[in-house]
Amino acid sequence: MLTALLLIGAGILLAAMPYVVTSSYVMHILILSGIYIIFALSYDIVVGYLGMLSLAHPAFYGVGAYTSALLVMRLDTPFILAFAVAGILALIVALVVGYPALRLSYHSFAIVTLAFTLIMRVVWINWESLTRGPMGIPGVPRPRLDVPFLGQIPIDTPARYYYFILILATLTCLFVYLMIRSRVGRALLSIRENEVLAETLGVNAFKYRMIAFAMGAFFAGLAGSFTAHYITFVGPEFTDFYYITMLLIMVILGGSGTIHGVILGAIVFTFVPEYLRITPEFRDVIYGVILLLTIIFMPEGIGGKINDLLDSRRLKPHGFVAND
Amino acid sequence: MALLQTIDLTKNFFGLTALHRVNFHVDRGEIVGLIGPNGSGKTTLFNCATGVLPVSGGRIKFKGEDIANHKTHEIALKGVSRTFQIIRIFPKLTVMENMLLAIQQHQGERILSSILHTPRVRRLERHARQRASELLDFVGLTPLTHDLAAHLSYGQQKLLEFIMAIMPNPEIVLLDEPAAAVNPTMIKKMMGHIVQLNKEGYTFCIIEHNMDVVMELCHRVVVLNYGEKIAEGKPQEIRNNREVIEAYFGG
Repeated sequence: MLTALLLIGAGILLAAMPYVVTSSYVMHILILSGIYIIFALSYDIVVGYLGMLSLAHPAFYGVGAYTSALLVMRLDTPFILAFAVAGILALIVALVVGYPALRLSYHSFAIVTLAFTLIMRVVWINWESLTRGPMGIPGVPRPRLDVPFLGQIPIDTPARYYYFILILATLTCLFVYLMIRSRVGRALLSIRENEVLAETLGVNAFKYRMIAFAMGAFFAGLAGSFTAHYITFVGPEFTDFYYITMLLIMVILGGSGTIHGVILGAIVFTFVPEYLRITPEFRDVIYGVILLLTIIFMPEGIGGKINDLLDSRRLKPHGFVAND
Repeated sequence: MALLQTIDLTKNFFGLTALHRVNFHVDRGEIVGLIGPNGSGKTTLFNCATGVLPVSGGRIKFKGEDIANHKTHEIALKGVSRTFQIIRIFPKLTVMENMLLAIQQHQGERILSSILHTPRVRRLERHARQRASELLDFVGLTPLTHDLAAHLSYGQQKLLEFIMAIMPNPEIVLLDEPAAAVNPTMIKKMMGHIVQLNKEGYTFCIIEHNMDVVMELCHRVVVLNYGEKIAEGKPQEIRNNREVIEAYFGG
């Protein structure tokens, strides 16, 4: 009951946001927060629930961004189709990379996924005929949605972008929530906690790893596609290692393996850097220190702390930090 | 035809022979004891039979089908359950969640319908909970159904692990030291459960050091020493076998 009221309250608040917030700059950061919520939640499927440190996420983000931008610009594909293909292609790429990589040990998996991210960046830079190399592709068109009965709705104002990402982020949360509560979530948890036992109980660990890795990539691809059509640009920057530090901070400080924690982490770490205007040189140092302190003093993250306060009996989430 | 059978099963660990041409079988409805001194290869045999370790030579047949080097989860789904020497449960999950995990894969994998929680999946889930409740009741863990498994006593965790192995209604249950490190009352309880389930048709193969348990429980005993089978027979015969006495009871 309380949860329902809270959810309705939050829903109304979120829906009213464009009427309350007058600054277009704040709207911009809110939209970015939405993107990061999807990005971080999808990362948490792999890092938090599966318990594997993947460094391939920026690659899937880039695949999604380039795919939908190129489809719309070169082939005149309707946005919504290009958007879906972006997610699906990221998913397929994840299956191809995951097939060998997910058979490896924890550390080797991290290295292979890191290599994949670096390779994809090189691909974006050097496949000039397709990607225009380091210059990137400007002028990515804004989304147009074909809605039945309402006709074509161009997504061209901050408010419209906001509602679009709000719906996407909500759907992502819902999906992750349903997955975690389902038998799939339980199987993933069992693999993370004790793989030998999970296998003994009949869980095909490799298959579930593939599923989780691919689902993470799917949502990362969607986030990439949205971003490209929002900032109307796509370039090799999409596959930057910087995103890994960003995602790790959001997921670990927020609380890996918790939905509310990761959402909180995503919002806080979209706003904080914007407002503090930290120079990039210091940024990485500060992020590193924050990560280190969190892992030492609060490995369960904010979300985990909240869970502890609400229900001391519930299972404690723990991500890859304590899992090794 | 034997339910589970090993034919010349051999396992080497980098030159060390853990199992050497072991011929061993369990028939349907039996309780077979597997004994031997520490390091004689008993657990290794379990690990080979459940696909946890690859075998170096020989065959393992389950219902006539060669399962050597098959994947652990595949063997599990064929109907081979097991417990471990050192308890393996999911301490951060509740007792009920542990039980549900033990059966869900046996009910088939339906990834998307699981996520969408379709009526079919709901029905399977109800059935799983029903069976879990019955088994928890059987061993007297019902009051702890919603406690974290970590909060159970050692003996209770052993019981939980035991009924998790029973949960999917397996064809054979491999128990690795079910009576180790638990108090005499709990040993009696555990033995009672095994006998009861055996009467209901479950087949067991048990590794055990407690000779009283082995003598009382098992229909047939197989003795391993340094990876080789040195004796096999009825508990009484084994007790009087000179070679066994020397190897096992320290001569």
